[in-house]
Amino acid sequence: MLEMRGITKRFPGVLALDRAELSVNGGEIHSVIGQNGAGKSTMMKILAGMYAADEGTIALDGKVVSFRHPREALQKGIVTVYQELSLLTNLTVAENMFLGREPGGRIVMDNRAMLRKSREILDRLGIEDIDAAERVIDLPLARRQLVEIAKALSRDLKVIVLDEPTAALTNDDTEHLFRILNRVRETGTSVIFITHRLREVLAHCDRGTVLRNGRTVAAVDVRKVTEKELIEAMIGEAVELFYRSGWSPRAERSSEPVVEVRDLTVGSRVRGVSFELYAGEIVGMTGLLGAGQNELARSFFGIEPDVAGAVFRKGERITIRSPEDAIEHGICLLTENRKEEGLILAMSLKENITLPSLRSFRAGRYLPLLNARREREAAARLIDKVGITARSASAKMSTLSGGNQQKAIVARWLLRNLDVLLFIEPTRGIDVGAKAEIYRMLGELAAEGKAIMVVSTDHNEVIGICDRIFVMFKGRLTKVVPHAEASEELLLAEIQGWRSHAEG
Amino acid sequence: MSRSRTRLLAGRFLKDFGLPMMAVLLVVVFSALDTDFLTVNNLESILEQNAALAIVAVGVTFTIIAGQFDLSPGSVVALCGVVLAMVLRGTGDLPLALAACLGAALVCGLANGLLLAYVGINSVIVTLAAMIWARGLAIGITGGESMPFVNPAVAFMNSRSLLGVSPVVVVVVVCYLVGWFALNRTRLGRYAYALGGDAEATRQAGVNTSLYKLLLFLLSAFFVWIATVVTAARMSAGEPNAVYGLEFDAIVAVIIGGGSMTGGEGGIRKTIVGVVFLAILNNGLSTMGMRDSAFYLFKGIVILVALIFEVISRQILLGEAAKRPVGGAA
Repeated sequence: MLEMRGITKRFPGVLALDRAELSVNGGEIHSVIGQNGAGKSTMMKILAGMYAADEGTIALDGKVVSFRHPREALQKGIVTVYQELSLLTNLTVAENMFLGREPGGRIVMDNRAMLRKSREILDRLGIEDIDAAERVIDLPLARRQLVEIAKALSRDLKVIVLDEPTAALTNDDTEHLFRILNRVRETGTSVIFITHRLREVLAHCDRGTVLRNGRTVAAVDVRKVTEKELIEAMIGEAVELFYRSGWSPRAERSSEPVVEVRDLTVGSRVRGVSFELYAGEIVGMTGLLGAGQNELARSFFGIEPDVAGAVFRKGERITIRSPEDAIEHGICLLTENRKEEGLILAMSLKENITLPSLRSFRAGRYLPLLNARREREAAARLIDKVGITARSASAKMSTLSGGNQQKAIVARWLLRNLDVLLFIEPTRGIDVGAKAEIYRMLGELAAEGKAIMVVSTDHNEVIGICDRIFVMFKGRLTKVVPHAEASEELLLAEIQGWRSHAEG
Repeated sequence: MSRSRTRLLAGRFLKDFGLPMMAVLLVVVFSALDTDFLTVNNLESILEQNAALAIVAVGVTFTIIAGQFDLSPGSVVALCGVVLAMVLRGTGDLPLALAACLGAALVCGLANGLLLAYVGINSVIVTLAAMIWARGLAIGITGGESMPFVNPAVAFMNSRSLLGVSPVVVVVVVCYLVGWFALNRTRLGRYAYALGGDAEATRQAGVNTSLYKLLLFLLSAFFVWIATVVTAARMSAGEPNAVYGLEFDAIVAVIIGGGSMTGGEGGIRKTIVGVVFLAILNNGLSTMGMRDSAFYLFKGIVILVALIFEVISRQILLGEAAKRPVGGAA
């Protein structure tokens, strides 16, 4: 029914897909699995017409097709539901479901017919508690996810792609979703299901394709494989060794914690978490998407609303209400969104590094002038220290690679002498070589006595580089795994709450 | 719960009734200061004086909702008025003059629309440039002089002969009906909201967003045309220096009515409230015989107060909405 053959896609510095293959039958639920960065999303974006493949073909019902625009994929009956919801919150549920294909004439719409049809679709899918006339902004997130799926299913479709649809759903909603998908399957539609949750794959899918480093490494009949086989296909030996090489035993961590957290609660996402961070160690924080690890890290930077609990810094209680407060207390956060953390692409590397430290380069006590030489020297020292590769210190930030931009932010905060560094997904979207560089830098910083916390959903990453791994499950810190005991299997079990929580 | 509910209700109340109440307050203040203010005669002349603003605001409602800015209407009204006067003086043919005027308005709208939708220049810059070049063209053509014309239609437009009301008032009412229909019943209106909500998501839904941006500016140009005709009839001339700042008044009216600067929010009813408020303010301040300096000072302050009210009521509402449970079947 759907055949993707020899799909290759390059991004600057990354080979995202390397002759990847995907073959999906009509009327099956087909899971695409792989680690973050394995190429799942890129593959699906090519299928949806968002990206063009550099090489390879897509065939639908035996006919080769090519999409230059998402619209063309939609017209061929390929609908994708992305992880980031694409609903327009200022419109109603019905208006969203029929956006771009409103019933009625070419100019005038038939709003009444649209509302009626929307209600029919919601009824048919058994979604009873959503009114089609309600504005999306008034719905909670999990409901919005169902609206998104109902919207996709309201089309005349051949293939529906769901990108981690269950990440934000409760167990009940997940079960509900699969009941809906089973009905969809019976109509002969193919469902492509992307997820990290192997349990869901084993319980509900018919076949699966495993991607690793941009290649298809296995196409399996889900009913005939074990979980262990799937995990091994996902990880691969070579990858495991690569990550392991990033860690080396360090000198003793500090005896006193530099940060102590008691009963930290962030909205409804983080519930009563307590832990300590020590100087000279790297702590990993992992869990399923939405388990609260991001909110936890962000709360340390004063950018989450509704934070309760106590944070102690070297024994003293502190309050962090803004990034300024955090920096004042020597804490900084680096997120995967480099613009959000204040990288100014139009300015030079040097200027980006010294931006928050300009006060320390004052030429004289009374004159508000910059001592350009000292600024230049400081920037050069930091560039060397964190190992940034750039043409020169005055190179525009926009010309640097993702990995080097990430290091520039680190350099910026090191110049401020911050000693608690929190990272969210520090290596997302950067290539393997740059990853190794970042790991080396993190190791050196820890050896120098910084306290480092890395929030990551990449298990190999946390296993490879962290001294201790905190596992979060549904907003709680459920397990602390020391480096020596860490394994992929253990983490997979822990992040899904299999050990400490009853299933279902 | 009850406190949160009180805040929610207070926010809704402020949002729905805050501005109308302030408008009533203005009326009370102005009629206390001037006994002639609250007369049928004056109320009708308020509408006549602000007809161009009211009509232009309909088009601006669409562009603001779509997350776009149109700074050109004032200058385009001046330019098209000059075109109307020229053709009318040259040929005496009213339909031809009206058509030429419409053509000029649509060309301006087309130029703006093509540049921002297909070349991809920010709408503020494109229409700011249009505001400058259209004014320059209008002044250039006339040498800066007013271009009076004579036509029987002028007398009709300035009479109150249509069932006792001014044809201008009828035109304004029809514009709002057309605007309401276009915004709520046509694809163009729906896509205006969608574009303002999230242009990329709208594109991914298969909507030709460039085309609809262009159409929005053409629709806006249509209302600019009508505003031009009303303005020219009122002055019985093509006036190259007419209606400076009309676009800003229109944008202010849409925003204080409850439109969002970032797009996605707004509506005809909201615009009506904003326009009425601004019209009362304009008329009241000028009948008080204020000097220009005082007029602008007071107008600016009152607009700020209205905007602060709008923002506060919105924040109360959003704050309460954010506290609603997230996730689960809550």
